[in-house]
Amino acid sequence: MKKRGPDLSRRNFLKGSVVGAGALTAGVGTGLFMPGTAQASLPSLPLPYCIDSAGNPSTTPNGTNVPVLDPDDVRVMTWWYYSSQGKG
Amino acid sequence: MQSVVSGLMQGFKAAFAGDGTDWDFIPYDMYMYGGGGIGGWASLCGIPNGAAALLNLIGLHGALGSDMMGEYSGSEWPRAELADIYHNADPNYGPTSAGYSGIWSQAKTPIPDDEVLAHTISYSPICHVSISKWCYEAGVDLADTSPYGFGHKSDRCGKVAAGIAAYTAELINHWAINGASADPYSIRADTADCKVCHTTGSTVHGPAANGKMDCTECHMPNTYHTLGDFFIDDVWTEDGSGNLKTSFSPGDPIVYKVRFAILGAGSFFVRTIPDQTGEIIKTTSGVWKKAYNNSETCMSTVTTWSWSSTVPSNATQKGKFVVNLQVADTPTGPLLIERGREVYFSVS
Repeated sequence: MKKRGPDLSRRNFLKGSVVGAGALTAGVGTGLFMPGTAQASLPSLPLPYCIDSAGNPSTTPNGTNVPVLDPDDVRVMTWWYYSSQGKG
Repeated sequence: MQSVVSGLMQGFKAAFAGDGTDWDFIPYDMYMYGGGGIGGWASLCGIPNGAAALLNLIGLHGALGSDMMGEYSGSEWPRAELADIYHNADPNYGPTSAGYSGIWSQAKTPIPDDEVLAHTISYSPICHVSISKWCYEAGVDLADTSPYGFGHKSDRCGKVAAGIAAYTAELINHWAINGASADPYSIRADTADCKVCHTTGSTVHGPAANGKMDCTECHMPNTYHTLGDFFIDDVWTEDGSGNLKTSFSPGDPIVYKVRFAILGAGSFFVRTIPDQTGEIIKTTSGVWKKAYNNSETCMSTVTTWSWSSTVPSNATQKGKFVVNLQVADTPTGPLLIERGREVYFSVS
């Protein structure tokens, strides 16, 4: 099996350049969030996609659920985003 | 990509407005990266990429993502639904409807379906394949503009985006009630046929392969697993240490080697013709013969076989190494080509 030499890696710009050294310093200097400690208020997945029989947002399939998407509304709105809102 | 995500996301944001769900915190523009197949690479089309991203937000990418990919890859695009909504002045969603007149006043006018220059099946989720195939069939380049003032290519891609977004909405709605896909994807028969040999866990019959993309969109179909040629590149003898050697003494170790090449596509079954490959050495008691047999399914490339032996203690004068090989598609398939070659060595 061929192994890619370290000299071929495009990541090496981080090791030998002024820009790379600055990037590494900034990354270390600003510190990192520890998972699960400082982000409790951020959204968690999955997000709801239907409404249950009690009227609450739900992520659990059930024969009594009420779907919330209108496919033709989605169709037209997607076209609008694409053709006039620069969304690609 | 972003249009698909936005089209679906706005539906959820509207449905759950005021309910305190985390939909309120998801920004529309977080999926801008996928347009043009990411960074202009035309890799995964942004349309299925966007739909899959949205499915991920609701935890259904594993359940419905493959079906959505299959719809994109295996359907003829663009479809008429969107243009029909506009040009037939759909009372609920058309340009004169109460709810969407403002939307249509800003959106581009879709090209009527009977004026669309081509309808194609990409058989691939790859942007490059999908767009290039359509442009070729339509006879347009990426910048050609329609009489409606909107690029032919953009009209096509916008309609695919709208169609996949609507399809994904239908999948989600069906799942919400049934907990099952409304349109399970089945891998194409010819692709399944390829994967009989090109499995994820074996290299015996060819490269290991992963995924559900249609093989023949990029690779030659199975019928072109045809042998172009087969030849024995070289036969030679070595000592026991990997060095070329042509003069031996009785009792010396001797290694027989053959290098052959397959020209063609795919893999082939190569075997020695039974008992017609081996060493033939003159000895003081007559001619010494020993057969070496081997078989292997080989890719269309260069392969070397070797056999180790010892020069008989009563060997004299000279010997030869004879190779006769046969090639077939499979171990039980009909013979395609035979080749033979020999090399002499001295014994003293």
